[in-house]
Amino acid sequence: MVTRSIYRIVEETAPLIVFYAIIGLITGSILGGIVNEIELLPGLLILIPPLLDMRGGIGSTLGARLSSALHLGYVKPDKTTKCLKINIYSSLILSLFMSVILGIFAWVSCMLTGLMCVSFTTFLIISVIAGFSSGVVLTFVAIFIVRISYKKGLDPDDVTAPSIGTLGDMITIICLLLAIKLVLILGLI
Amino acid sequence: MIYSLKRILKESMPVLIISAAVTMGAGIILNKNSEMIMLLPGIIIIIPAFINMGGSLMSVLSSRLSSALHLGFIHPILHKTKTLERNLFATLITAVISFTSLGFFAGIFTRIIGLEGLDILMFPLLTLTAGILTVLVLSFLSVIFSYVSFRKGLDPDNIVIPILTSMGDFIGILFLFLTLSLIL
Repeated sequence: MVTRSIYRIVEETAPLIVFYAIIGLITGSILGGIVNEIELLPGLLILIPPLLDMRGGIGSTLGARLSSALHLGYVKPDKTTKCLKINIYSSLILSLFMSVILGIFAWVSCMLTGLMCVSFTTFLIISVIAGFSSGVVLTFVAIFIVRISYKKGLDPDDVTAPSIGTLGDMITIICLLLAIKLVLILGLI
Repeated sequence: MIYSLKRILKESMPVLIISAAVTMGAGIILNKNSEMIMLLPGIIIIIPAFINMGGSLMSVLSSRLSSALHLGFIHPILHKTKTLERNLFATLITAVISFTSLGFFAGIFTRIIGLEGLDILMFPLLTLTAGILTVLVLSFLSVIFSYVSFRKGLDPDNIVIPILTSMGDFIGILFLFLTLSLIL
């Protein structure tokens, strides 16, 4: 409740946040491993915070909507309903749309601040591949988490948002690595 | 049914676009410091966890504040109340615990994977200093945003959390590199 004691609030929040920190450091280690690849494509670092933030934003709202829809009976734990399809489509459309926006924003920001960077098309290709592929993976991961937590008798509202946030970062960084590799292999710089 | 494709897209896009523009600021700061990152690749491993942490602390604080506003434990006119004080203090204590352990584990992680990083004691110092500064600024913004959106008749849950997480990315990265340049 809102009027809980300081001790209760800290006790309930701190262990979870420390746990996410450890998972986040694993993601960070993957990122640390690809720093050399990122170095080959100047300006690419700019995409990392917005990509992670967008993934969290789309994923956690999807998770929250699916949880409410389950509670309301619009989504069934083991059947594909129309409502589920609408949510899948909207999450995929938002991922595609926002990946294009991020590519444009990243290029414009580099131009405005005079940072050295790759070409506009390279930004767009990397942003769309990394943003959309991670969107597809995370959409299905989100559905899986919501269904499992519901079946196990946990409230999906409590479980989905934090686990999607943490898993989303990891999936996004891996997809970013794949996008970079693809661009380098195909020589699309 | 309350869900339609059009409605979901229409309600999500503006918030996502604003967030994208704000977090691009974090990207610019990260990019400006790319030389430092190449010299000390160990720094990059704390970045996803560090930005996430500010965001998590702030969404917890903001959703508690907005519930308290809805329930009337905090008055929509800004003055000191016990609930407000208690929530801010709890956020600060949680932040000290979380950011210190992030730095501690980051030191261990860089040793394990063998990345050039900071001294093992410098990591907690960096994350704690940068983290506390970030949380102080964000808590202040969280209180202001919650009150303003509540008084304007908007539900703080829908507005404050997404905007605050994005601003957290920006302010967090800013303080992280400011602290780092002070330490080095």
